[in-house]
Amino acid sequence: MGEVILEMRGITKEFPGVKALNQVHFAVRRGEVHALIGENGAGKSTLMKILTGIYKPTAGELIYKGKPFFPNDPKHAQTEGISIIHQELNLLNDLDVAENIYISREPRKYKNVLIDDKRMHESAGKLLKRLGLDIDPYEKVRNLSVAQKQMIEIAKALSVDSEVLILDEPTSALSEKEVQVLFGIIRKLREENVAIVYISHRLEEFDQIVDWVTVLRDGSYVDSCSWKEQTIDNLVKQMVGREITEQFPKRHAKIGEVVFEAKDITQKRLLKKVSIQVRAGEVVGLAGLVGAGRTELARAIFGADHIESGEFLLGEKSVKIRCPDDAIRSGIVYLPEDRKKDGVFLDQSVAMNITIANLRAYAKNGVIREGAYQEAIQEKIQDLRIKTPSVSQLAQFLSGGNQQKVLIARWLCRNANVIIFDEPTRGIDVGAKYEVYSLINRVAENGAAVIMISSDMAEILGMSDRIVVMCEGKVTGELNGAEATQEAVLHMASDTNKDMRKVV
Amino acid sequence: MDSISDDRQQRITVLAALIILCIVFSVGSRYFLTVDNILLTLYQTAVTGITSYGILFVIITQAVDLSLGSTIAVGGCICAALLTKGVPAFVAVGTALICGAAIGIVNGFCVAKMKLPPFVATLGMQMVLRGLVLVATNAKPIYLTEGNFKQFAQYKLFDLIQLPVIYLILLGLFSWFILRKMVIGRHLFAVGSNEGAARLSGIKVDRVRMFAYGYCGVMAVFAGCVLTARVNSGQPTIAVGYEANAIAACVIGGASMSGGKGTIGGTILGAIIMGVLLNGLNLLSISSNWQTVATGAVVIGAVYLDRMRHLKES
Amino acid sequence: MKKLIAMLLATMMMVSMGACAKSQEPVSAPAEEETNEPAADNADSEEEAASDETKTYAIDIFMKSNSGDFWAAVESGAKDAGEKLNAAVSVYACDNETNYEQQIQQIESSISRGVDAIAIACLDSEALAPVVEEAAGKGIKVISFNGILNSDAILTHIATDNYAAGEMAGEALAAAMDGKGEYVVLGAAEGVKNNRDRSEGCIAYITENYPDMELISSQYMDNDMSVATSMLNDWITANPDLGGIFTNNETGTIAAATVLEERSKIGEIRHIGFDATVQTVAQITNGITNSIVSQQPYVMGYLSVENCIALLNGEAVEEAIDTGVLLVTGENKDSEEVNAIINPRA
Repeated sequence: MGEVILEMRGITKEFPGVKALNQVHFAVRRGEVHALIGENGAGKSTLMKILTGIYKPTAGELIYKGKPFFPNDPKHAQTEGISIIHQELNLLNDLDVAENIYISREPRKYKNVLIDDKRMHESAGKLLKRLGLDIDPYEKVRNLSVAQKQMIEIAKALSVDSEVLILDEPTSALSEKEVQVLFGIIRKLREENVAIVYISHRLEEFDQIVDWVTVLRDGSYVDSCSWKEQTIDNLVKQMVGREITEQFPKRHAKIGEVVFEAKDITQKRLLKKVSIQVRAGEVVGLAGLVGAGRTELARAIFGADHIESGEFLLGEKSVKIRCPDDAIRSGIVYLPEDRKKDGVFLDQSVAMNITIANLRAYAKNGVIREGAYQEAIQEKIQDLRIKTPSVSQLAQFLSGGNQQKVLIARWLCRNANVIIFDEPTRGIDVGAKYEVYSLINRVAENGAAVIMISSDMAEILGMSDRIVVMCEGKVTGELNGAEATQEAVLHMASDTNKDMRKVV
Repeated sequence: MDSISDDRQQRITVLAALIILCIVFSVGSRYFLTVDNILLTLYQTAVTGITSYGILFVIITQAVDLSLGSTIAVGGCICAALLTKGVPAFVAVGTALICGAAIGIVNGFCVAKMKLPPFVATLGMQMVLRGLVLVATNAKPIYLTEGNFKQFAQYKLFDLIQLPVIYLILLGLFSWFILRKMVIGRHLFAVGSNEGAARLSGIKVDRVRMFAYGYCGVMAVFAGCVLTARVNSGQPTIAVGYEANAIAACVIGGASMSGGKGTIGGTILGAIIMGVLLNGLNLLSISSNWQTVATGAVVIGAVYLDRMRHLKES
Repeated sequence: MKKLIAMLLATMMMVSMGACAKSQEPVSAPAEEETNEPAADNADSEEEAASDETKTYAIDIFMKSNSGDFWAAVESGAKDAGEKLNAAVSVYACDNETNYEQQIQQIESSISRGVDAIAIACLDSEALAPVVEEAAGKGIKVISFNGILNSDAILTHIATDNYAAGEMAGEALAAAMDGKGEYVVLGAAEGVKNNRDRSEGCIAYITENYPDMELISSQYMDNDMSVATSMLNDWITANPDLGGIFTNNETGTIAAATVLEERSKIGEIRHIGFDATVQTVAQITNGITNSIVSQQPYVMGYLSVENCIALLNGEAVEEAIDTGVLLVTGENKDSEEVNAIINPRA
């Protein structure tokens, strides 16, 4: 590890009424992977926004390469060598890979009049090779996987000779295999003496790449030390400020009869005769890589997407599900993977978000009965401990964990007997994760059948009574939750004919 | 950043703008702040107001209805045509309203089922309807020489308040009730706020969209019947471009073109601002060409405010 | 919904059938009869064909359209002239007032039929020049009416002088207001010269001759009746001493009646309208409107035929002929002259 390239000293940032950061210290060395951790709202994003010039600090200073540094905006920070790759990728789907990498900085020819298309694609090709990626620079970004897109973002950052690279939750949308490829690239960059700031909730992955770790809590600096000197338990304690005795709460559910069964579900190229069944009180983990067809299966069961053939059985009875409304009426509900896109109504109130799927229960002749309505909302907010200043707060101002709880509340209103959770804890901080797990346990204990899709291996192993593994639109295996191992799941989830490189 | 305070702030801004406008005009013309003129302004606002209730429903679902003006003309002419055939007034208005709902549902069908962009679908509908009404009437007004249908608009309650002002208030309350107190109202907001999430919450998005357009069509035709009574004739060329005024009223009142936002209270304030603007400029004898400029500027300004609000939130 | 569509379709069909029947209703030239002409019309033309032999000249009239009373009056004027002056007059019209291609085709078929003279209400001031010049080249006398054409082949143009019509309105308004007081002028379409001329003629005449009369405002309402009523209402509010209104087309004239009634200003505010129709003339009867200036479409049709015949007889005609305007008042509203304008089909 080299000398300190960037140092943030005594950074304080105040928003009207809120102190988002209070005297935070943060220093990164060349050739180091420096993890920045903390619960949602701990101030990680704010700190990075100050570093890239989106916010001006209220107090404190930045020292970059030994000199005071005042970034005006992300572009300025980037030209100085500080790049950030956001969780939400910023690529233009209709342009090709090289065009995305060099956007607004395209190499020119003929006195800077025309874009030198050939040179641009050649240098993009070189860059991709340097990262060990087998991607055609002429490929349209639309056709790439999420993981590949992320690699393109990294390539884009490197094309401007970044010396500090910030990765915000880079692995949240990646499968285990893809994560490995990403880590390979990060290691390569470390060798090239790039300083990497790594923001992530997935502490279990840190062993593989992280050198140093800084913990923030409630806008304050807590600790900064070598990864090797730390234990996960201790870090979690530092992050949440309290002790979490176990990661996955115990469940005391009685597993009963088969409640729901999907038979031979087929959907154009995505699902090939998939069958799955789930019992009352049971949590079935649905594992697989990104693109294995897990979300597609869930959406098909929920009636969100059309299927070519197949049958759904509730108990013994066959049911027709043509749209989500049919599914909901049959007691099947689905919590989508992408909360912001498919779940939460961001610009609507918490009250509306909780009740929207069950309004008819509080209405008479289409008119809402205010009393019953408000009562239901209050009950759910208290029951699920949703942190919100009022029921009329807009959902966009809630944390990810609380948004997820709002969605769970929405379906608890319906008393569903089959609940499908798709990536229930993605982007949620440690404390809230535990609450979500408890809620999953609770619905199972109340006799509901749960299907849980997750790319988080620990979560799959820790929560499932039974694990169903999918790969390329087919069910490739089933394991008992108590006996399953990471290796066994991974083996079933991968197409053994392909090596890791080709997945990306 | 509480939603309520945000709404209230919006309402206060609009109210302040209205008061400033009123002060300017009452300085400019001593006839502006008279009971007669205030009632007259409300009377003249009624058509914009009633149509803006309808289009608000559509805007909340993140869509738009550009066929509004043509629908007004079609409704007015159907009503007038039936009246000249000796049909009782309530049957004529009722039939016209049903046609309005049908026009709206066709719009909704194009948008929801055929997946056409609302702008394109309703622009096409605008031309189709205008063309049809011109063809059907031979581009000539249908005069109501007999009967007393003009009382539908011109009758004065207590010899003071013209009926359209009452319609404006009653339909406002009715629309508010649907939006705030009924299940379908919440569904409108849900669809406009996040269509994907609405579908996954079990809402039949297509039906909700068709309802919004249908309601808009009914309001437009009702306004068309009021106009017909007002000018005692069915005018096939009337109400060209009225959709712009209605949209402007909604947006001034805090509705968002990005959907999921909008209130009846704000919309009626917006409509009154538009009405006061035109009335004031007329009183000051400012050329109608400049009035068009002023209306356009208000529309741009209002949409700009909407964008700014939107940017601030995200 | 189905009902509505059916209704609209039915209306469309009826209207378009009516249009076909009328446009294909030449009094003579049986050789050009269209096959789809209704049987009843066939009987008609046969009957008239019998009297054909005694007639000397074949004259074709091309109107802009046949919707509205205006063109019906033009048609009946032209036909009456044909009957009186012993000429075979055929009248053609276009589907709408922008379809000049149709008009060109109609003229071409007249040329090939070898008519003696044609009178055209030109739909385009340039596009018709080639076909008109072709006709002139074949010795056909060509005149225009209502719509002008930039071509030397046109021997005379018959039209209403709208500025003079405006002046007449000004005079009538001044007379109604005893030559003093405040007045407003409401126009229909600022972009149309004929329409603007009416407003300007009125204002210019009053300004010159009646110094005690004050123009409060002169505006245009884009032929939208609801805009017209709002404007008039607001003017009345802003000017309690308003004494007179001139509205320069039918829409405005009817709007004025609505507003005067609504505001109980009948008699107090004098009103001069434009365009005599059954509606507007009824306003005179009801005492709302003082008088109405009207074009004379019947005269226009009559003069077109008359001048064609004069040219064919080798007489000299003026380069531009004014049809004159008619002031409809309480006295003459029931006269035959007025009736020819408001009930042309009778």
